[in-house]
Amino acid sequence: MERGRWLPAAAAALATLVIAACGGSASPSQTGGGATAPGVTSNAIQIGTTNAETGVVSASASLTQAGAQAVFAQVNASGGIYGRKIQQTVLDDAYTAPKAVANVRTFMSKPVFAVFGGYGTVPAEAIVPILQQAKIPYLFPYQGNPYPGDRYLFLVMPVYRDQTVTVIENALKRYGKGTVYALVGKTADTAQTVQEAIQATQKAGGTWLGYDQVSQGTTDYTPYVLRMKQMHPDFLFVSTDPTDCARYVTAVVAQGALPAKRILGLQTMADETFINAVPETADDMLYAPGPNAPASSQQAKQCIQIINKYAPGTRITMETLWGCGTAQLFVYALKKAGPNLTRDGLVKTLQAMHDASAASVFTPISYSSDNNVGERTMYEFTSKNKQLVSIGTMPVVSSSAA
Amino acid sequence: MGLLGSAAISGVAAGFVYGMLAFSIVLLFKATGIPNFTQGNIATFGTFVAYLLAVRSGLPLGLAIPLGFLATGALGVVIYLGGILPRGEAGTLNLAIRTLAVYLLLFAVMNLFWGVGQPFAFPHFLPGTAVAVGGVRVSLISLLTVGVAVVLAVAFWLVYNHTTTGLLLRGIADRPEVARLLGADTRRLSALAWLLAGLVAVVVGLLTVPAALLSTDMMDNFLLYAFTAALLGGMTSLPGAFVGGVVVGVVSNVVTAFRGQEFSILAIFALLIVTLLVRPNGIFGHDVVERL
Repeated sequence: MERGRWLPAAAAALATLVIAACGGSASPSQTGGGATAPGVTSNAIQIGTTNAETGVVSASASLTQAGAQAVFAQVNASGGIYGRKIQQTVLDDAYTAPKAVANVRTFMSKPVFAVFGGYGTVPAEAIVPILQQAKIPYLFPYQGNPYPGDRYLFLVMPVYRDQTVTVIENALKRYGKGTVYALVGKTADTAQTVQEAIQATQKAGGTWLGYDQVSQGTTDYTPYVLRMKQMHPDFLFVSTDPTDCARYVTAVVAQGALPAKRILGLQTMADETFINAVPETADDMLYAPGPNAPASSQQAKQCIQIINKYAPGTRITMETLWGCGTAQLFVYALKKAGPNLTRDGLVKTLQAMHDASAASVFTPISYSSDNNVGERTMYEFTSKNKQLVSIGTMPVVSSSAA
Repeated sequence: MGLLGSAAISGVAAGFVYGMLAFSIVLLFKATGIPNFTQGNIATFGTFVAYLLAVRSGLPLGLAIPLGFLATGALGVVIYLGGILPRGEAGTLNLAIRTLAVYLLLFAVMNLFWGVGQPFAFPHFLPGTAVAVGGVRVSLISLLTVGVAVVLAVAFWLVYNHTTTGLLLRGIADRPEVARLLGADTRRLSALAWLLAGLVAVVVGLLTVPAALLSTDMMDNFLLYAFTAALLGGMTSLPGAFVGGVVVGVVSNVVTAFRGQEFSILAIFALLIVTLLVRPNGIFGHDVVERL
């Protein structure tokens, strides 16, 4: 063979081998899929989860993971998705940004097809830009910060600003107009959230009295309660992490400073842990949106059965059901994406979802090319006798529209 | 009464809690010369044991709480025997860092086994009644905290100043070699100090838990304020720990009520720095003899 003709042929053959090894050009069989994307082989879909398995939020975070794991175990037991089993690698980030980033680097070198789940705003904030740049889908973390324009990030629960506007407007509608005072946790988004809350109060015909801003782990909430008490609000809006929410409400009860109408909160308040921790006197005073149905509801039955079968002994809470719901949503999207699974294909499948009943614990899910938040309605919660009570659903009000 | 008075009164109530934890730190420091960073988590441990026995095992609270004391006293001794006694001559800095390591270890273990579903509401062991003082409702637990603080301060002052054991405890911290030469059993006395510190820690935990709610990190922020209180009081003065606690509590709550938390932290640590500049050994402290 002439030298000039042999070299291009060898290079082409080598390139074909490299591409095949990387999984770039293999075609799926009719019943199953081949290696169609990074992290996808003919018999497995590798996904990564960076989760707070230890640290301050580990109790809740581990429950979301337990719920998801039960669903993946069920799917794998029934043969997987187009013959591929879901193989989830869970790494602990202890609710810290550096560990979350390190975990994501590990996932990228593995590689994984997508990053799934995880708990809290701190790890999410750190890894969103990395995953966006690497064009790796990041699906359904339990967090409520907005990331508009991120094509690869998909959220389920409405962002905190929208939840704030939604709960204030709905509360003033349901319980009558009145005055609102707030205690908000300090985050990068606090100023914007407060601004939205003020506008929502005024739009609903209420009067904004003011707010206090706190950092996590305050030892004594009494000074804040004394300030609030002087205002005699009808509604008290509390937005900080669940433990501090409970401590603040406990201090409110201790000072006999309950608001005239209701204590309002975000999804952190629609949670058994919070309800169990606050004194009885605050019971029946709470009003908050929740991202999923509670354990006592009909909608939760399917998830409870799966969890009891595949993760026996796991406590069934709002978080466990959230984990189950997000995993079901992921499985639903994988099925819809078809056997020729690619990252872009999954993104397009999700973006095409419109009012999809993909998980029984969630309200219908919709995404589009300019909307990466799935829920348009949230469950409406109050509590009675130390039990979370779902009293319906409320449409999510977009903060920019408030 | 206006916000200033109300915030100050609430600060006194909070200050006694800081003071109580500071007291347990000083108690151990006086006897061993070690600033114990584990103290907050020892308090959490004892409170958790009492909670688990009462709520999950169904024991009456009257039995669960004493068992919590027993377990925590034992934990104090175990920490001493396992973490402090081996190569105990390594120096104060080394030993203090060991207590920091035990703090992290204890937190991780508690979080692993007891963290799911926290925070928990501890069963009521006192009526929820409160006394209105100047616009502030001072709960029965706050009044009890003040009472317990006074009793503990007097009791331990008497022990340290008027009993052989107390004098020996002070001796092994201040002049360990001399104490040994005089026949003091330093191991037994140090173990006793750790046991006592553990018992006082449970008192702190039980008095804190109604407001802080039971969680594995419930004492973390208290510990910072308690050390500040102990340093303000002088690290070796038992009444000084309470005075320091009340100063920290009042400054913290008043500044928080008017300027918010960031200013409050600023004010407390500015106060600490100024105090240590003016009185290097704190308000009631005396020169500490460093072990060589």
